[in-house]
Amino acid sequence: MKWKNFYIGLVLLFLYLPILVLIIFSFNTSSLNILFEGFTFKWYGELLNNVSLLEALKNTLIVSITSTLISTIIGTISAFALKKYDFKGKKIINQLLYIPIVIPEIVLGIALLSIYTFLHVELGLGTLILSHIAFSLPFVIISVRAVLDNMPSNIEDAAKDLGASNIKTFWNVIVPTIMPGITSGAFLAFTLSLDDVVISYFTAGPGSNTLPLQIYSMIKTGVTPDVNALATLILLAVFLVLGISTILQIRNIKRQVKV
Amino acid sequence: MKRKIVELKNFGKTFGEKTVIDNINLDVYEGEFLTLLGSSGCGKTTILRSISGLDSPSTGTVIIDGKDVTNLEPMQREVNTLFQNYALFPLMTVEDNIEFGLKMKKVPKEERQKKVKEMLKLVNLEGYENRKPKELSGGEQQRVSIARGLINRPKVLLLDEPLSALDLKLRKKMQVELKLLQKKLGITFIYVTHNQDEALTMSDRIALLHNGKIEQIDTPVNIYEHPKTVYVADFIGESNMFDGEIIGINGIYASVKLALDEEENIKVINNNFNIGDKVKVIVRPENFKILKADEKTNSIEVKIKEYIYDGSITNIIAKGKNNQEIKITVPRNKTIVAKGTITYIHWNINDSIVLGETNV
Repeated sequence: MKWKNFYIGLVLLFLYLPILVLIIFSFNTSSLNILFEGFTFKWYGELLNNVSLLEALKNTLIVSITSTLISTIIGTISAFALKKYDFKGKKIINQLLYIPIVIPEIVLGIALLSIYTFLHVELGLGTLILSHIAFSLPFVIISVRAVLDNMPSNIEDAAKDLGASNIKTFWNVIVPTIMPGITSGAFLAFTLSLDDVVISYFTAGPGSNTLPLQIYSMIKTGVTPDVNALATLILLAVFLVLGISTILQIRNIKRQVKV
Repeated sequence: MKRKIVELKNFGKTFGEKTVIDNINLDVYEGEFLTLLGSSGCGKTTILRSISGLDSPSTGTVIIDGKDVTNLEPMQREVNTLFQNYALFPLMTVEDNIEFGLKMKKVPKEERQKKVKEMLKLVNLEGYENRKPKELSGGEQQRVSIARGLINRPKVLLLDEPLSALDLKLRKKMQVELKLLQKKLGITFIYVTHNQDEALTMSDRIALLHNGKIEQIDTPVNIYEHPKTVYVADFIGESNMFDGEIIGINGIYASVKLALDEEENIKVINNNFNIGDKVKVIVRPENFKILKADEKTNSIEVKIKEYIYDGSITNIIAKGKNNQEIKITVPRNKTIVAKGTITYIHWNINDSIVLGETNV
């Protein structure tokens, strides 16, 4: 038993030590990530003055949120259509959906860049958003499909039978039922978009640097500790979101247990 | 004559090359409990879905309460359906599920709540308002689906094998409950099942479907006791079917020589038979009486093969002279003869169902 805990501890350490180091160094007075010399909030202040980093953060949020919204809507509707209707080539489309997931990002990046060049589309936030929609769409569709496949049969018929129009059936019955699939698809799309480097590298234009691209390019000029501060803040936001969703889930379970 | 509430006229349904329903006509009267009975794939659910509007016929018309609804959407028809496996909305509470139909009809909130309360009381689910379907047993889910289906006071309630997911005991209980509910509310029920016991127990009339046609539509008693075709006799209940030939006519009776035992002739009711007609004589297992060898009248010789105990009754397998298997049912405490005995079985003249060649 003792060994089991030791083993788990080791795994957790392996996973979280780098993150811990990052957080610690965000409070380091030295500007080199080598030795901890003293505690300071300085870098958090610097961060507010680092215009290019903040600009990149803004771009990242614009791209991630827009591409997530659009890919979630298109993905949900596509998944519903693929489930509900029979048409020629449905099987092929279902198979084709998996291909963007397995082909290397770099190939997708080059492909996207060549089509933008071919069509003379100017690279910028627009092309970034389009590209992010392209690679996250299959994830949304697959995630929604999985829930749709488990949806109790007949509930669509039941809604219509009880007087619901097609639109009301979709909104009042089907969407709430497949919501877990939609949200997990959206989260997947958001996280994929948030930290994408490879595809963004090919499809971003001047003035549309995203945060991962900005940090990546800073390696050449030297990473300043305000990046550590930014990363810590992002981590904090992630933990907050995760924490709230966990609390909500636990409450939900407790409520169900009570009745 | 009662008022017709649902009429199917020249109703047909084809899927690609396959004809599922072949030009049938069906009238359902107000307040009756009609069962569409048939083996799976006979098209009974297709008929139901065409009445609710979830499906549409390939040919013919559907009339509900005098109005042609063939091309109307489900939401424009005053019928509701109980689905197989209940089809409750999984994320909604019991209350929300039941209320759904009223919400779609934009009934004001106060009235909705009042009606939901009434329905919960009707199906004995008071206090279950805030539960989710998955927190309910199969029987309770069934009750929710009944309440949900009835809250709009449909002119007709369509039931698509609603009891098939329940275990035997609960199913029997729900059969009685549904029947009582139907009588109490006076709503027309059209019930689809492949279970003949269910059909016999619950229905005012049964329509037996076979090969896309209505084989016979009649009361349970008539379907069981006076089947019009061999298929009906065979499908409903247990039956023994003997080949025979009319060899004599004597007023209201006719004599039949059975292939089973050519030495003994059986008397049956004459139904415009002619001498030489080939007939099938059908006898239900419970109508046989085992005789001692010396008192034979209207009887045939059999050899007792096997006894099968079944609680209140005992099933006997016997063989006729031509080796045809015969099923006999006797009450449990009846004194019975030993296996291997050759004896005679008798039945009343009225208990023979005699079908001519045209009914085959």
